[in-house]
Amino acid sequence: MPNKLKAWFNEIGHLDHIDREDSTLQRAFAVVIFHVIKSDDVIIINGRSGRYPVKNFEEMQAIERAFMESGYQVWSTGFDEDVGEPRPFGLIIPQRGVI
Amino acid sequence: MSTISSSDLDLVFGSESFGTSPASRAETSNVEFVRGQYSIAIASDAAKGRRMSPLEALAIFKFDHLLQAASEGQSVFNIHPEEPATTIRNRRIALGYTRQELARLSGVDELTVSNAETPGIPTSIRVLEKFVSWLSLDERLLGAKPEAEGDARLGVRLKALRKTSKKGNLPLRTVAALAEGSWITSRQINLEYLLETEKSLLEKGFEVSDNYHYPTWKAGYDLAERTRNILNIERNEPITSMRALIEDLLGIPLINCSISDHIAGATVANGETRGIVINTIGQNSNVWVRRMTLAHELGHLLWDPEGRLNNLRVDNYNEINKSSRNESDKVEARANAFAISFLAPPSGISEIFQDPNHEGSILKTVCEKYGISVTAAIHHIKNVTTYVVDHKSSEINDLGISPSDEWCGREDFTNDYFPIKEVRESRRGRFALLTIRAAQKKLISWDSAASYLEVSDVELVRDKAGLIISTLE
Repeated sequence: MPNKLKAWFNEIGHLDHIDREDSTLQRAFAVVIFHVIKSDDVIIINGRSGRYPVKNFEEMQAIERAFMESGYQVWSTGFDEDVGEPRPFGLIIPQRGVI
Repeated sequence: MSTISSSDLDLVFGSESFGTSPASRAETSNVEFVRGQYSIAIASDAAKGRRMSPLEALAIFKFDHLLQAASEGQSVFNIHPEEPATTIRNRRIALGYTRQELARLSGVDELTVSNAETPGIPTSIRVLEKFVSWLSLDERLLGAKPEAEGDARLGVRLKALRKTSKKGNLPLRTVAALAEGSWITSRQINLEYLLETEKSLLEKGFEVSDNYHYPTWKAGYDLAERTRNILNIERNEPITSMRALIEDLLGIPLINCSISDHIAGATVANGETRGIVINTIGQNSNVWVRRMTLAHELGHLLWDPEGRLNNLRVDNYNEINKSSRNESDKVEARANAFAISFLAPPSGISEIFQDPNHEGSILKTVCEKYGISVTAAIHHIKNVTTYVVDHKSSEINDLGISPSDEWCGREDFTNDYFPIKEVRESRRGRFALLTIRAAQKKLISWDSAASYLEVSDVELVRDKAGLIISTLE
């Protein structure tokens, strides 16, 4: 994982629910955001909060939109309608914007 | 060995289920699971993926996955971040399809195929399932097992066949039908296994024979007689339905399809399983010709060693119509001799020929008693008795020798009538019967049953289940 990205990865405050030691997750981040991380206004989200998990596609979209309207560039793993669960990190390339 | 706690079993299969093992709990559970591209979860109203019965899920995924799904909402099962995209792409290339061709077969656009082949791009399992039968992949294993345990040799053979066909490139539809035939074969054998109705050809006494020695036709005749003995078919008795013999008695998948009009049939293998793909158009639209094709393919399937079949053996009408004594390819010559001798034993022909009380045309009697075509009967009568039927005689045309309604009904019934019209001919017959039985016993979900039959309305399949069973049994 590139140092610049690793520093960002370790310091970013928005990713409270992830295992930062997970190498698969780090690779996914490295591939996707190496070229786009330039400032603190980028956020990559999933809906898998242990306390407040996202319940459906519409709810996931609302959260993505809320971050965008707050000034963030949003990348999201989205909601998996097949299994009715938000997608975790590490499986798909996060998509930009409201997905 | 650690035991699984009762509370974990309750969590996964519901407290109404009973038993001390995952298998026994799965048998009595009313819970359903749902799978997507990468993960499995307990089914909910919000989940739109493929629903699986507990037994179906347990057959593919470890209990730990199901436990994680129950406790954490979902469990990721894919074996590698690049799956199932890589498997789909590799398989498409192995079978020689372009993206555009796979898209056309599957009823999606090219971008959808491209996305499905790109790791990290989300694609619904419902879309991925549109590809699997054309790629002859096991949809249950997609993402969960390397290459979804697809038979690599089949891909090589299909690709080669498409490029080296004597009549130029085989049409896409034909290659796709053979790949689909391989998929149905694999699924049907699995359903027989789940329902404990599978039949072992080896146990019945069929051991492949590498005897193609001159005269090859004699080897074919001997194998036909052995087959009749193994199956307890009385001497000189006609075989009233090849369809029933192949599917019900021998448990060999028989897949009807409409393909290129010069191809009569094929034997296909998927791993260890073998089935017969039969063309219902062209000359096979006459059920007597089709019976001959079926007997020919059966000869290959029962008696030819694996190396001769090479995962796929495709026969065109020209090869099947040749007399076994004029065929230079000894594998085909033996299958032709087997076919005619199996359907119409030489001793039966001699008996008709020598019957002092026989009235009318020998040709007509042979055709109508044994259900073989006029052309086949002419060759066979000559080979057995040396009596030559004059090809140009008005006898042939004027006798009106053609299959009766009874012959057609016995061979064609499952094609002609099926309670759900939208089910294609390739998925009718015993495959449909087993699918419904498996769903009724919760070995697979009704969603899986509908998917197997390519019916979008799951409730329609459930509603018509009784009628399908009574029609096909």
